[in-house]
Amino acid sequence: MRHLFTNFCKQNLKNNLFVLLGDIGVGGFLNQKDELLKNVFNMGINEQAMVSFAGGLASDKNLNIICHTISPFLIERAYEQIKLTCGYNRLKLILVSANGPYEYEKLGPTHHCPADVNLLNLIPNIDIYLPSSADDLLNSLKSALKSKKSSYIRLTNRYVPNFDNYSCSEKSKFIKVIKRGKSKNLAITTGESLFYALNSKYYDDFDILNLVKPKDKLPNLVHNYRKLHILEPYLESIINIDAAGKNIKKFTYKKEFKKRIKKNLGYEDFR
Amino acid sequence: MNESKLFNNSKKIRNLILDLAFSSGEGHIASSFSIVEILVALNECFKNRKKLNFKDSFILSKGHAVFALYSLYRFKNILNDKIFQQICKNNSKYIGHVPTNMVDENFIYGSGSLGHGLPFSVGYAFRRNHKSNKSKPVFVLVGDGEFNEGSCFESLMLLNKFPNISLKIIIDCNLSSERAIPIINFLKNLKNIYNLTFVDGHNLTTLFNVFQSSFDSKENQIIICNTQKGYPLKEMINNPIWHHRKLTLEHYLKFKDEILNL
Repeated sequence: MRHLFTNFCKQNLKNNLFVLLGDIGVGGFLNQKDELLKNVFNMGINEQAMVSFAGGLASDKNLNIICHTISPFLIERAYEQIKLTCGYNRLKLILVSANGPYEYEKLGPTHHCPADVNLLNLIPNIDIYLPSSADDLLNSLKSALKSKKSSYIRLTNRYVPNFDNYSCSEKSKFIKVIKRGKSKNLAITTGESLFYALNSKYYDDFDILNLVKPKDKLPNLVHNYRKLHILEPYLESIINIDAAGKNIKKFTYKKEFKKRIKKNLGYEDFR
Repeated sequence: MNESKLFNNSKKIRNLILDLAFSSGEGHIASSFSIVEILVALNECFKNRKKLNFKDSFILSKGHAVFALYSLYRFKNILNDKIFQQICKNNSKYIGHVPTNMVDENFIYGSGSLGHGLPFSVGYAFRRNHKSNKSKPVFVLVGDGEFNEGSCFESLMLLNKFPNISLKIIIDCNLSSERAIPIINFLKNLKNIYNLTFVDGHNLTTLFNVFQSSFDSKENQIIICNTQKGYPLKEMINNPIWHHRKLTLEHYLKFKDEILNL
């Protein structure tokens, strides 16, 4: 997904877009003279200053500012700066993290961020996008550019290129339903959990409802299903569902999701 | 100090780094290579010092260079071969950054995110030295790019508050992040405020002499070591592609050969 992200940015640089990089992904933004493209800055390894600097740029409402680096540094290290810049001062930033929660698994917990979605969910004025496919990513970026609110977009290397191989209907740009089974079971996924559900034998006869924006309201069709499994690739659940009379199981990184996909070494393993 | 012996030790450690990187499919090889002489020379300074040892006195703040530290510890048999073979394998707590003290007491602080080891070291050095008349130096190795992080400058301000805690800050200055934020001139001007020394980071003799002379004084010091990222491999030196690149068999054999023929 990082490749797609870089290409999208390069196509939109002339449209008042600034890209601030935390010393990653730099190579994709170099011209033939090995110089960074106009409006792209390598801000180095200082995430807190990067986010505040971005806020200063964003005071010009005509500009779109993207901040991009590895997720724990972008979200956790610069959390106060995000809270004050985006939440309190209501300046619009587009935060794009380079990886899903455990994608740097063997580098250890300093490079993991399973709490990213939950932390940002506490800050007002930020839309959260967890794209599951290449198209989802492009739609998320386009939406983030147009929106007046700040956005967080999580890139992942566990995604599907498209939905062409599946019997899929689109409920909205960010909600898709994949018909697979004859049973009355539904898996609700977002971000990289779609990839896991599609590749897991356990979910072979589940229909899948995929949300790009996990805070979106679920469509009514979920009530047609007998069994619901909700797979959320972050620490605590944020997907809301009316639980009356339903067999609902929620899987988050805190509750069984790690077992379901495979075990990822995480912070709790070092206690 | 036997320079020839230390030179051979450096070769052995680089070989171990390559072995580890190839078998694990992980590792920041170039960053690890740039600090090998620093570790070898510093470790040598601790020999014959009865009450001080390397592993209680050294903090690697530049955590992604941990393969160099793992390899030094393997070479010294502080890490046995069984553990060494497990590094960065599935479910191993010996990860691609410094493990925590709870995983292994031979590591004082589990760094990985940059800019954390240095402020920790200030507190650690204070704890070791503030009541003692004698110097028990604490050496912390920081990357020059790591000084982009504000917490590093906060640490330097703390040193003004705690001037004689025998903290020796070794800066691995390989200039790899000058493309982002030029910092080296800024660091050089610290000589106006702190006891600051410049040294060739790949010259074992001068490194040894500088580190050795720092032991007896409680004064805090900054030692800027001029290094090359990826030294001495021709393909790797100052080549950003090698920051976090997996080794193929072809590259593994080529680099091993190059080390052998040094």
